[in-house]
Parts: sequence; C-alpha cells; structure tokens
Amino acid sequence: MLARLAHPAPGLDERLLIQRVLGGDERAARELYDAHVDRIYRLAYRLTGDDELARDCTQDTFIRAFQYLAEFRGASAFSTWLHSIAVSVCLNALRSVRRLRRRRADLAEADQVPSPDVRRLDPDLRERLHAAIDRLPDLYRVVFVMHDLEGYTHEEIGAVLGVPTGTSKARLSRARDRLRQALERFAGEWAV
Amino acid sequence: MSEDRFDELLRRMARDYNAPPETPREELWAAISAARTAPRTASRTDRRAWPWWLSGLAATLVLGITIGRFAAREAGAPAGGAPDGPVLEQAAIRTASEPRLPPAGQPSADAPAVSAPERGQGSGAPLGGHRVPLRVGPRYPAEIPAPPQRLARADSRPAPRAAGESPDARASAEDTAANPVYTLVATQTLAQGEALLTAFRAARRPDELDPQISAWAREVLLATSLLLDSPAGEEPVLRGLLEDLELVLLQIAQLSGSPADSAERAWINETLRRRDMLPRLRTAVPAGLMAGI
Repeated sequence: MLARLAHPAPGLDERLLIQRVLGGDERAARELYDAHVDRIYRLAYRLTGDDELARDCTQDTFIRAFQYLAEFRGASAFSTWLHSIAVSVCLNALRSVRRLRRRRADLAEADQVPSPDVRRLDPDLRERLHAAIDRLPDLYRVVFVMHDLEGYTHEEIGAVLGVPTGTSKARLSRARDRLRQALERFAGEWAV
Repeated sequence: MSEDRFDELLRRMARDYNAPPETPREELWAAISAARTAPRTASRTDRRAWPWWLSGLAATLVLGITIGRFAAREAGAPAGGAPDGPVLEQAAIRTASEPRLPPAGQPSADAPAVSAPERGQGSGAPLGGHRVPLRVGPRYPAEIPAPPQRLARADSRPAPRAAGESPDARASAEDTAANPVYTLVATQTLAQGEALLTAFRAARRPDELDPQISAWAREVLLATSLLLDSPAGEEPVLRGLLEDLELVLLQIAQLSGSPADSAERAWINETLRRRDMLPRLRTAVPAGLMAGI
C-alpha cells in the first residue's frame, strides 16, 4: 500500500524545488520527478492496465505539470495537484481507447458466460473480479483503485478529485456494492 | 457472508488487479526531457475551441495555398517551361495524374526521401485513392537512434527545402508565423495524429485494431503531407514532427489488419517509442483540444 500525498519524501522542500524548476534548473526537475514518479506510474498502471498506456499517461502527466508549473499556486500540496492531472490524463486516454475495445470486449464477454455447472468449478474467480472492476464506472473505479489498492485516504482522494471526503466514501461504498452484486452468484466460492 | 468479510476478501483478491511492474524511471524521464526541450508549436491562447466550419475553411485554405505554391514553383522551373493555361488547373492535373519530377537545378538522387517500407509500394504509389507524398530530411536528433534501415530512397518528388535554404523559404516561414490559419490547421492535424496513435497503441493484438484505422490514417496522412508542403512545413521543429508523423501514418495506412501485420505493427510501435511520438505530439497540442475531436 502506498499513498501519503502531502509528504512524498521527508525533508524535501518542494516549494524551493518548484522555484528552482521554474528557474530552469534541470536537476531540480529531476528531483521533483523522482519524488513522485512511482506513485503516478503505479496509479496510471492500475487505472489503465496497460504498460504502454501507463507510460504515456505518466509522461503526459509530468509534461503537462512542468508546462503549467508556473500556474501552481500552492493552494494544495504539489502531489495533490500532480495526481489530479494524472487522473484526468488517464481517464481521457481510457476514453479514447475504450471505443475501440468495447465492441470486442462485449463479444468476448458474451462468449464467456458459462453454464451453471461450469461456474462452480471456475478457477478464475480472480479474473472475474478483475473484469467486474473493469466494468465499474470510472467515477467508482478511480476511488476503489486509489483507496483499496493503492492505499490513499478518503481525504487525499477527495482533494485529488475535487470532491468532499464524504463523496469519496460514498463512491467507494457503491463500488463495493456493485462488485458484490457482480460476484454474488459466486458467494460460495468466496466463502471457501 | 458479512460485509466486512466480503470487503476484506475483495481487497485481498483485487490486490493484483492491474498490478504495476517496476517504474521505468529512466525511460520515462528521457521521454519527458525530450518533450520538454521541444518548443511548443501552439500557445495557450490557441486553446479555445474553434467552430467546425472554421476547421473546414482552414483545411481548404491550406489545400488551395499548397496547390498554388506547387503550381507557382513548377511553373517557374526553367526545365519544364511555364505551363500554359490557368496555374491551378495545371497543378491539379499534375497532382492527379503525374509523378512529380524535381525542378531543374534541384538534385533528386542525393536528396534522401522516405519511401514506403520495402514491401513493394514505393514513394508516391497510390494509397487508397490518394497519392501520398513522402519525404524525409536530416531530421532525427542525434540522441534518438534511427530505426532499422527500412527506408529507401525515392526519386518521385523533389527534396524538401532546407530551412534557410532560400529567401523564399525564409519568407514562407515568416508567412507561417504570421498566419494563424496554418497554426490552427497544424494543431488540429497534430491532435488528430495523437488520437490516432493513441488508438493504435491501445490495440494489443491485430484483431483488436479497428479496421477503419487505416482509412483514418490515410485522411490524417493527407493533411500531414499538405501541411509539410505548405509554409507551415518550413518551421523546423514542426516539420520534424510532421515528417515523423507522416512516416508512422504511412505505415499504419498500409496495415491490412491480418495477423501477418504483427511484425509491421511491432516496428511501428518501436518507431513510436524511439521518436517519442506521443509525448512530442502531446506537447505540441494544447491541453484540452482533444475533447473537441
């Protein structure tokens, strides 16, 4: 589990670092990058599920962040701002590619509906869970991934997404409800 | 099963959902650094969306200006002599039916040009009904390795004018800077290229590739080629980006969607990565523009 948006690297004076980046200091840019790239890439990978796309999104996030760094006023933590860009970039990229994948995914899904007998023996419950997570609306999936998989707090998620903490909690609860509904016919296997 | 128990099981089983590998820090940084050092081709003031009809108008303008420039250039070449009749008609006839020959005094064999990958289609070969012009100048930065030697020389069109080669070229570059229409069309074309390449990269297997992507690539390729031949193509950084885009688009346009394409697709992906195409395109396209495409 990761997280802790506000203090990515103890002792790192980000305000000073940002000033140096704005002054054209490439080493400072690299330091800033090093301090955040792991979490941004992990989040991008979790959200996209594709290495190429995750790389593209991570690059795009940092390119945009450096490009608009002068506009960062410090009202929130830098990493909150950076994560906001990352989530936005990832969701935009996913929208672009989903149109292409959707038709094939629907066909594949139709092919994979098993008979009741097969369900009991299905060893790929995990895959079914992953498919169910894939099918969650982005609104819920982002919160589920950030909270349950990457360990961000609701306060952090709220800050990144620009929603109240309560909204983040509600979205997580709905995400879990949907996963429960999607998998309830396999409840017996879960209990094993 | 209780909710708490379900949530705990859920977390446990979901842990390896899209489990990320180790961060490729150095590769990512190299791409980010390359994109950061490339100057932007459009300023933030271009970010506002424009009405669709203005895009059409801009494209028409570029087409007209391009044809006019070609016609004027070829009409001025002493070897062929000035053509009779209206300049635009002559250019249109030539564009539709003849391979272009370099004007007298311009070397053709020594001018490197990209042809289609060595699969039988040469430069200028008809592609989906379009005659696709191709060219490549000395454009790859030294730190980015060139792709495998799959490029062949083509002699069917004149070499590109080198930046600063002539007063005419300099004047054209100034035209570009002064003319927002070129910037507008260039930005739109680059945005379309970015969307297309993103879609291409998203298809992991040949059967996931949208059959229409080749047709889409041809459309963007045509716009890219026109831009390269317009004054917009005189701006060195933009030209480099457009030329790289043109090369990749040509390859995508030739994909048939069959499993036999896998080697070609792998090579295209390699080109995309080596040239940092997507980061460069994204740097060139103002943020927010993609929403309007």
